[in-house]
Parts: sequence; C-alpha cells; structure tokens
Amino acid sequence: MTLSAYKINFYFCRALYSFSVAGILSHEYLREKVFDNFKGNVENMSKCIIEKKVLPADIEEMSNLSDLALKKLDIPETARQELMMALDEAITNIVLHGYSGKKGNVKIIIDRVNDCVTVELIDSGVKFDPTRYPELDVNVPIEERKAGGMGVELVRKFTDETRYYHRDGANHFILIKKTGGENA
Amino acid sequence: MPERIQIIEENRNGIYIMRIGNAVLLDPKMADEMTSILTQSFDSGALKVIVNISNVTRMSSLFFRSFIIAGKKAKEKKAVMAFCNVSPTIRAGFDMMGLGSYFKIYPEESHALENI
Repeated sequence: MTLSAYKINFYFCRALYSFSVAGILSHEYLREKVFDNFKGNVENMSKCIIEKKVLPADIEEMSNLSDLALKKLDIPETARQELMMALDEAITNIVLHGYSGKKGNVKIIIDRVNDCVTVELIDSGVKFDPTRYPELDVNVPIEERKAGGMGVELVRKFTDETRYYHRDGANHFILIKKTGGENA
Repeated sequence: MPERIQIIEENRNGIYIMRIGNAVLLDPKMADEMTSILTQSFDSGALKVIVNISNVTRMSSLFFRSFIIAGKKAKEKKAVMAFCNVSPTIRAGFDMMGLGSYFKIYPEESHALENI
C-alpha cells in the first residue's frame, strides 16, 4: 500500500501571531508567503494529520507514519523516541481494545508549537478514558501482577501530560510532551 | 504488513543467544510468536537465554508482557533470561514497569555471556 492510499495532510507553517491566524491560511499561502515573509521572527508551528481505517496488522504502519511525521517536524531525538513509545501504546490500545481487533478509523493529529508537541488520537471505538485508569503498582511482584495496564502506564510515564474527552461518539486522547531545548 | 519476528539463535556453550532482527516490535501476532519462541526454549531445556535487542528501536507493552510470561516460565524451570544492548528508551520502559530489577540487563552481549 502506498502513502497515497492514506489520508495524510502534512503542512508546515510559521505564523507571526497565533495558531488561529495560521490555521485559516492555505498550505500554499503559508509556505510561499507567510514563511518567506516572516521567517526568523516568528513562533514555530507545524501540524500533521494521519487518518486510516486500521486492523491490528496496520499498527506498525500507523506508528511508522507518526514517527515520520515527528521526524519531519524536527522533534528532538529523545523526546521523539519517548513520545513514540507512548503513541504506540495509545494506537495499540485503540485497535485491540477500542475496536476489539476489527477495522476502525484512527485519526492522529500531531501539532508542534515551539517546545511542546501535542498528539491527539481520535477514534470511534468503545468509550475509554485512559486518564482515569488506575495506576500500575510496579511494587507488586511480577508473579502476582494481573495482565494489562502496562500500556496506559507507559503512556503516562513517557509524556508530560495526558487529557481525554468524549464528543459526538468519539474518544479524544491527547498526549502532551515538552521537547525541551535539546537539538534534533 | 509487518514481517514475522526475526530471530537469529546461537547456542554458545549452553547459553542460548537470541538476536532479534526487527527494528519495531508492535504487532500483536509477533508478540505471541515471541512468547512462544521464548517459552519453548525453556521447555526444551535451555537454562540460560540472552535476548539481544540491539536492533530494536521501538517496542510496545505487548512485548514486555511477552517477556514477563517467558520470565515466569524461566523461573519455573529454574532457568535465567537476560537482555542486552537495550536502547535507553526501551530500558526506561523496563524500569517504569518494574522489570529492570526482575531481569538482568547487560550493556553488551559479551558482558551478558560472561555474567549470566
């Protein structure tokens, strides 16, 4: 399957004032006009949207596309790897539990504003709020641990903040990661 | 479509080295396959197994779960399973899950061979 088979909107923008200003401008305008006019004097903003109907066998492709997006957005290496660990868990959870392994739509919106990346995952699977999932007690001996719960814990630990809301039948799970001042 | 799990196995003086070739370990079927391969090695009598994950850059909790199942099997058989060449991010994952103290993790394969 080629990349053209996916609905991918990928655009970079730099805007002088705010995201809301940049958000209404077209891709071409942003690239050809705003970027050229304001470069060197602006907030950095970049956004990528990946959307696909996925099965368990597609988890790796969704993950690889997300990783590619983070690379294109110049997310520093350590932050990118940690965010990918969290994102992989979130994608896996949606596909295996939200859709019970059946084909379902997953939309990932990756947004970088200055030193912060937000990744929003949207799905229409079973309603599930990962932020309210009980914390994993890692002090419980391995032999006594119940299966499950590790994925959500990894998401928490590899991000700086997570948020969730449910709207119009869809789960919106947002991962927030500070990228710090590390060079890419 | 993900590939199958790629493992190169070597028996060096009774120590089984399993070098994983995949860079990304996310596929649920691959996780089941990994569990099966590791547990079967202990069922077949292996007493020392080193899992070299030098090529692995990303791994999901499905594989941590796989390692836990294999670790329990190893304990049951009075065998040992260790890891080597673990990337810093995956190592952090081991530690976050409380697995960093459950499994021996060595920086290099040579260290693992000497100390397991």
